Amino acid sequence: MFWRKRKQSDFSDEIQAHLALEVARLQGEGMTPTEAEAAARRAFGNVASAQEHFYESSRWLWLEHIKRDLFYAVRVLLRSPGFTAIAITTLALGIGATAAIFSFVNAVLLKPLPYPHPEQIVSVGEKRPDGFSNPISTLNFLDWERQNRCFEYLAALAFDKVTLTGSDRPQEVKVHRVSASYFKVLGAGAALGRTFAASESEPGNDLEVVLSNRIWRSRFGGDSQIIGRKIILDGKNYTIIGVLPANSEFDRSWAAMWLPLSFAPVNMTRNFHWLYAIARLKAGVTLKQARDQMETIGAGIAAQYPDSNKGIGVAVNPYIDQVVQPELRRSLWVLLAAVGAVLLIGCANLANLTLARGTDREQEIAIRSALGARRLRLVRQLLTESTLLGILGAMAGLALGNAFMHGIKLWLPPDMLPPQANVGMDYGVLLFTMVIGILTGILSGLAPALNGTRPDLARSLKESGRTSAGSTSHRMKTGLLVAEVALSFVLLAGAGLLIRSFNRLASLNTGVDTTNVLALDLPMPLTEFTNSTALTNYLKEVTEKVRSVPGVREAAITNKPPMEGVGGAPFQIEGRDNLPYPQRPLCGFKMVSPKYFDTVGMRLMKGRGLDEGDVAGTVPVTVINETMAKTYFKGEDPIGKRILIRQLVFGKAGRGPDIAWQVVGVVNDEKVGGKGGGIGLDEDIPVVYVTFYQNPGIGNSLVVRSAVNPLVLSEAIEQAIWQVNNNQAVTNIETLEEIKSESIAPARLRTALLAIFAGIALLLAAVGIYGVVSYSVAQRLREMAIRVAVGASPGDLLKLVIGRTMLLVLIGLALGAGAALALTRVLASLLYDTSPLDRVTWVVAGALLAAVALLACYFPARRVMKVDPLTILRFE
Amino acid sequence: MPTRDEKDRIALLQGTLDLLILRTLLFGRQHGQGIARAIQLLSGDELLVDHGSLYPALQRLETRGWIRAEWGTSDTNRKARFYILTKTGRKQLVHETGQWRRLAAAIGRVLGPGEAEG
Repeated sequence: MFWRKRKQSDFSDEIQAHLALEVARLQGEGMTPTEAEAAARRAFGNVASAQEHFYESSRWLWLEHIKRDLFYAVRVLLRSPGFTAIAITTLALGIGATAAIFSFVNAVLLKPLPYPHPEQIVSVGEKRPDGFSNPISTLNFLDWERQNRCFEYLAALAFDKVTLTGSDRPQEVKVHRVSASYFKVLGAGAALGRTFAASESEPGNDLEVVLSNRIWRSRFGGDSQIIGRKIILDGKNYTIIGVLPANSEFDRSWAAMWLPLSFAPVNMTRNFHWLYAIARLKAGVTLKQARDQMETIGAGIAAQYPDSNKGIGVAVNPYIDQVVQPELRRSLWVLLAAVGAVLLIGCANLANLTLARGTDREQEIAIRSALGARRLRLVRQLLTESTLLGILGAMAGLALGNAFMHGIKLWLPPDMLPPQANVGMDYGVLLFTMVIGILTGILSGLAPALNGTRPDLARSLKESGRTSAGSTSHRMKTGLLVAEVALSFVLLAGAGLLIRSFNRLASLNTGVDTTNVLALDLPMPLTEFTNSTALTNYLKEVTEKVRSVPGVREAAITNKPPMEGVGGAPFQIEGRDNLPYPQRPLCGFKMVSPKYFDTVGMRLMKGRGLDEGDVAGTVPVTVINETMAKTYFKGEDPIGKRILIRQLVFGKAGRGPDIAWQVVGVVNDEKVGGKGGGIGLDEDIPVVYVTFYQNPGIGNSLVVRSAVNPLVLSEAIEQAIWQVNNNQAVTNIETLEEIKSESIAPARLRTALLAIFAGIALLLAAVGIYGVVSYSVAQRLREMAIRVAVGASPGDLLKLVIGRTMLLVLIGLALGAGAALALTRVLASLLYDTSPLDRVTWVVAGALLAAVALLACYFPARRVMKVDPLTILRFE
Repeated sequence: MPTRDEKDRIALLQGTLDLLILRTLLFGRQHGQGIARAIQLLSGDELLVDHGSLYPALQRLETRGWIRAEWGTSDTNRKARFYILTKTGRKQLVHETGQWRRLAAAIGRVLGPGEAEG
């Protein structure tokens, strides 16, 4: 601790001593005591000033100043509660929105993944010749595992769904099947029990399960004695060996249970790509070294097995790049920039308000300055006031931001954020918000403070603030107004583009008739159906039963409902140049029942549809979609052509020999992506359809068209299914409308948020313009009175005020357009069928802003029309 | 700001006051008024010490440890705060005197002979 070196009284004593000595000396020279006293004081100068100087050289003075400034600031703010309330509300809105968005940016983009040394975790995948990453085949994965020297652990993961039976209704559970080392790669352990040991990757030894904390609590009552208990998954007895930590990323994961991944002999193939892999780099191994080594290993495998691997490399990327997809990254930064702009507009408003008040306070400041306060002290005093406002605004903003954040979270579509992101108001967000608050306070207070303490106090004192404010202040106000308009335009244009893009996305033709169609999943374990005929008969029976439910018009089986993704198949058109297998182009491959097209409302364009007669043992036939026909049968008739696709062997993760699927018809494109499969709702890809009789597989869905709202029928449909098999889990019951709505949910969310921010910006800009105009009208009343006195009509005055403001608005619009030109480019990848330079959007945004600005300046400007020159000029 | 009556007196250059105070104290302990008086006399009445800056300067030198202070009695038997040059202060004086001489000589060279009298 430092103490002030000397007491003030000690210093006063010293000065008194000085004066006494001087008086004595002067008396010695012959002056009278009174003369001497006066002369000594004159020679010394201003005693108070010397004391002040002494006082200010003390080290702890600044603390005392801050304390005093703070008390003073509180008094000033309490004295004008109206101004204080408006200022804090403006700041709280801007800071709150910023804090809410920042909490997402922080959790998703800034915080490292919640694992030890997350930078060592990489994702590993196959790299196709076209550069895209692809899932991994079993044998490739096992070769990588054996040959690599760069990974401490390499773990594979497969997505799967299993049916949990034994109590209640059968329930479908999403699971990750993972290598034993999976949790070691992540460095994550169980909260209860343990995770997998190496021996559990062997078939027969793999009947163990790790639960997420969430399902442990919801389905198993949080039983602490659960370790060792058996549950039935897909008809087999699994032992629960562990429960993962609460509130961890595993609770937010797609999967609710983790099962060991073991490779049965039928899975030992190289041409079925179904695994995803993550790995932990050995200490000291760089990403580049790992890439080089895996590239060499990949090349070796490709040379050894060209039929399956020619041209296939290995992609090694930081895990974070897989966890956070570029679209999400971009959306978040765009939203943060948008709230930042809203905050800046709020700042400008507050600065304007403070400037206006500054003029009112000119006298107070002049007096303080005449009493000896130096400019720095005055600036500091004013900045303390605005910083205090900033801090209060930040505190209110935190409360508001917390509410915003929870609101957005409720609205957030599932799986939009990576499970690793734990969004919340943590210390990082708190600190950020307080810093933003203080900066905002300083930013909005700096210009007014510097301006308000200009050293020409003589004028201020004399004129007692009656004339118009100084030209600096005026220039500053117009500058702030122009900046506000420009920022608002950028936001409006951005929001407009997203809205336009969203409307186009929402009204896009999905290729199917989405009204009154229900989709539901029928997960079923492979173990229940040892051969394909049993499966097809079962599915046929289920479909018939559902079709007989009153109100149901049509029902069909498909492996994926519309917009929920599609499996990919490398194909070759018979008779064309033979490509090595890995270089074959990909098409979507859908296994459906013949009534599928009728059920979802697709149109046959050419040839015939699929038929109940297209069963196993007859000629394999396919109906292709328009994109397939246009892309690969340009200028020729596809009917009768044959498409070679290697057989998906029932019950085996592998492909058999080529099957020649004969094209019998062409249907219109249905949107196969959106909600799933990594394909956008707006994409059309080539798809071939075959009957599930000719290519049966497990994991099917039922689509049902009804005469009435299909959700009303869902209970009856479930009962019908359970009449056939009461162990059949029925999951994901949704209408096609709902699926479509979910596919555009991320776009809807970001559009809505940006629109809200743009709305706030517009409102703040309007308030800002209103404030500036009403203030300048008040300041110029005298001038206006003179104008009226010399013959100006009220209309002339109105034109004068509005004309000047609108000129500024136009300058702001022009500047905003320039900025938007550069900035809306970053939106391009988030837009569907909309150019970032879309003319309609730009014109509408500009017109809206101009109209609002006109209103905002019309109301205060009207006052000049009531100017009565006599009343005003008489005050002179 | 205290007003200055004697306009023809030379205003002290920033920093030179410190040097003059240290030099004055070389003769022995002295109080503030004595220091001001001494500088005025030694400069042949050319330099006037602005008291408004004298005390802050003393305060500054004391903080830096170049001088220390004690209350004592003056020749005229009055209580006064006396300043005493410390060891580091003495070193500083030597250093600053050298600096000043070099500066003065340099300025003299630049201004040229005779004109320095101005």
